[in-house]
Amino acid sequence: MRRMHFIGRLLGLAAGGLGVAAPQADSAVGGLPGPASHADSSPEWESLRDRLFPSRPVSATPGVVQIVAPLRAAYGASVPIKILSNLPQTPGLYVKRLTLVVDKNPSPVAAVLDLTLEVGQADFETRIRVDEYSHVRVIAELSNGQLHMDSRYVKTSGGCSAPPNRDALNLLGKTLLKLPEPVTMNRPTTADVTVLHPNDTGFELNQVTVMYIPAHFVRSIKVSFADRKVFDADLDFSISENPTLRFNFVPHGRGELKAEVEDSKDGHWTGTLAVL
Amino acid sequence: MVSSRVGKAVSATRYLRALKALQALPIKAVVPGHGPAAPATAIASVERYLAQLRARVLALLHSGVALSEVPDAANLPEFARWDQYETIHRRNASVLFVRFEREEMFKRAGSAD
Repeated sequence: MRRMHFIGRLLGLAAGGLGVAAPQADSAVGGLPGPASHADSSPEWESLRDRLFPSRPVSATPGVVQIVAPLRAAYGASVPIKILSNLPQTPGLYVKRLTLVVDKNPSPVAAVLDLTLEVGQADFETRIRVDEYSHVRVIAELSNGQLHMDSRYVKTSGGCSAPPNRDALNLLGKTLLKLPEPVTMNRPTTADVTVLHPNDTGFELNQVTVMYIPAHFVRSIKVSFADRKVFDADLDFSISENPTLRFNFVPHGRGELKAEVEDSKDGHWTGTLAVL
Repeated sequence: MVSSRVGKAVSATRYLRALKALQALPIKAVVPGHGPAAPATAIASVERYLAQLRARVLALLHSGVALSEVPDAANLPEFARWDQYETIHRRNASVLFVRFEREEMFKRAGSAD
């Protein structure tokens, strides 16, 4: 059912095409679901929680972890998401794992980030696909086993309707690392990793062959600095095309920042960046 | 009337070329598939919208604005009264931003080889 909805959305946009704006199924005024609050649960989340964290309490008290997402995401295929931790990564207590969930996506678990102390500060930014109006939530698992959650309700127009770019498949897997800000020794330093990849969902119809374009997406990105693990990310096609993560790492001297990438068709790539 | 949803299927250049070609025809009125009929000058305003959209989004990309700020920052008052401006313009700006950003990434990755 949801799959049909997803595809219908794709076809809707293709038919509207470029010219005169076609009325869009989900842009109808008054088509909004009833008032949804950011902290609400959903049937999808209830069932997912039982599978991800069976019989463990998930605290929704604000303060430990925060998710930032636009209420009205202008472009559903690329919704910017920020995860902010209020807990510094110290050996005594730190964020061990972050799980990013989009309740109503066909595959709701968008990312699982397995962190070490080397991130320094467990803040992340990425871009995700949001198929339909949905809560987006992050669950932080602390090193003492506690689970903390924050959620935002996101309204999108377009969902997964923009087919990714496949014009540069010769660059597929190319992994770029970048430092947007100056490096500070022994302090959390921001870095970006981007993998050039269409991250195909498998829900897109090829208009010519009328066959579905098979799913093909980045499965994992493992980031290390000077051969020490910073974090491992298990990802899914709910991450936008050209999957990108902004993260922190703590440099203790010169070294190589490295990202090892694997995709769902067993493609392997590595990106490196010399720091200092 | 926002008669310009930027899409993927047709390149912006081809779109602009088509608009130019339309303006060379002896058109008296435009009857869009959505919205009321309009004088032929509507074609020129679509062209102007696309040019301004492109210029604004490129400027935002080069000034380092984050994607999350693009929909608001791309505001184009001249077109603010167009139908569905609030939805479609914000979306157009985001779509183009991601596209230009991707083009730059491809250039960077291609030249690193």
